Amino acid sequence: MQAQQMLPIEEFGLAVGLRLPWRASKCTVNEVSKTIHLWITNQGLATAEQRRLWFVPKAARAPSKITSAEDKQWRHVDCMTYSCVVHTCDPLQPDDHELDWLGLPNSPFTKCLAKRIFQLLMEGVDMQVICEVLRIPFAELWKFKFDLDNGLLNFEYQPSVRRRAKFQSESQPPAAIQAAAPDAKAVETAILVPDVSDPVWEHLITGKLSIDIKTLSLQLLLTKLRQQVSQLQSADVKIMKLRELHRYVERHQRVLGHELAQLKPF
Amino acid sequence: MNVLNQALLEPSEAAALIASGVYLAIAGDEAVLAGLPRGNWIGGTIAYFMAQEGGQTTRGKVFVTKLDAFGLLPTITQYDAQHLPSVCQDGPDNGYSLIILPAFSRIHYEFAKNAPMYEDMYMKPLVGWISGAHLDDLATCKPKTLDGRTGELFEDRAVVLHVPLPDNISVNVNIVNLFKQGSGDVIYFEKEGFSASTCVINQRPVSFAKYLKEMGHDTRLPLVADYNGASVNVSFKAVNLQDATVDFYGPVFPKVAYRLADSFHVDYEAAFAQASADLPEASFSCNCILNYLYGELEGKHTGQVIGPMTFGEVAYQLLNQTMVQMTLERH
Repeated sequence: MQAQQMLPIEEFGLAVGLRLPWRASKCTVNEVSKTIHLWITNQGLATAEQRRLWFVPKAARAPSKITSAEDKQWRHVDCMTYSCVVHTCDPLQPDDHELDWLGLPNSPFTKCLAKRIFQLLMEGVDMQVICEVLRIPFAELWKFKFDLDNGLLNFEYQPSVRRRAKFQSESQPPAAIQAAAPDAKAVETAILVPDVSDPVWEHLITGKLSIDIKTLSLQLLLTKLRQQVSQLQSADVKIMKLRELHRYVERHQRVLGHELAQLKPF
Repeated sequence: MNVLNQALLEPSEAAALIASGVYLAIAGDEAVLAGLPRGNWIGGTIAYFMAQEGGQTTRGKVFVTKLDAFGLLPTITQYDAQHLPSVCQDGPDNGYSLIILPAFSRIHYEFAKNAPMYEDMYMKPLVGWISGAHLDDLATCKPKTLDGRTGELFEDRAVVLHVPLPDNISVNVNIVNLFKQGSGDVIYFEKEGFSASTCVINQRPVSFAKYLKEMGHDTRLPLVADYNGASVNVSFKAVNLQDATVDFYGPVFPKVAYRLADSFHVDYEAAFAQASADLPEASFSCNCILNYLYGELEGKHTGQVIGPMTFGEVAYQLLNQTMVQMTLERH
């Protein structure tokens, strides 16, 4: 059964978040891949359709444009249990790429989906989990994170209420966190590996602090992170890099005695 | 096997090991690998080895590395270039992954260029090597990898053994690099790639090919970058003065400070013996064919360390002219 028989095409436009003058012009459903393909345009409507939208202020209506032959497409957020791909053949202006229902020229994701992915990455969700939850290919997510890591993409992180509380606690001086540690084991861990909020990590990742490193993986990781941080504009992504370094050290603390001994006095 | 886990063996000996069901990484000539029985192994083509008896070039034997998982179950996975970025994520939480990639293929270049950016890179140990061929056969024979479960040979796929380990065992990956940064100019490249026409020296763009000629540089000595104490080489493949380009065996990266390597005044055999003297027994090791050729290591030893002499080494990322060694440590 075709989706357009179930829902008017305008409703699909609303469901993906379109705002005038953008509108849905065509919709197809692939039942095999469970994918909705929605073509959108900002061209003026035919007369009959224009009558139905008589209430839209004239200024909000887009001038008629010639569509280009090139079909551009981006993966959008899912529509219930169906994947959703937004297409347009319209020629796009630079500002158009910032609309939630469109994406950047080389991105596979709409801005709306990209924001969600960024949010999940900032919340520390594992990339494999993001792929499973959002049903996106790992290679595309990896490319997205590559661009993020290298300062080619910029997003603003809007922490969830729960995470905001965590972020605020992370910005407290480390001594406060250590004092609040409830049991002996947690205190011991805090002494061995400074908390992620400790300035030592920022000093290490920016190169202000130089230590003697014997472990190859840390030598290579720190080199990569320092290069990335030096070219990043986004403070949020820098936090992500700090967490990556902290996660590495926590994970490998039993073989990093030489390096951790140099972090402790800071 | 004289060092317990690794040895250059006759094909019949390797076949017996395969039949025992253990997990193996095998290096050898294509025809010999193709003739081995199916089983829990991955393979790559190469004809140069550092054996128990010293350096050997042979098409008739295979170098076998036995990968002990201490009762846990390793997995074998094939990767094409598109799926390779998840190789570290797919690795066990505690353990390591051993990868073999075919030289001069798309997946080789993909790995060389992008491996440092793979998710979980450096979080989980990744070691391995780039397969090659006998230098006499390079014009007619492509380097290959092999999935021992099916016997399939690949020119553009990586084969990986993900080996889990018990929690009380950790993995150390070490490198032995005979080359150190010299005291000459700091060299930057503006673009990432396997070749470069210009570089930046003292904040001025310079033809790199001309610079090398003017310096009279011996291109057996690589470019060396200092990665927070680890010397990482980029080896020279060719200097083309006519079109003013320099080709490398690995990529150069922007924002990395390179220097030409200092020459060393002892021979390779003595230098490797000295550098690897304190290393513990390896569970896996490999070395570079350029060290084998430039160091004229046929019949000579590299300390106690043995393994295939390869077209590229993997210690997390791709390395050149470097010995890689992985050891297991019990806690």
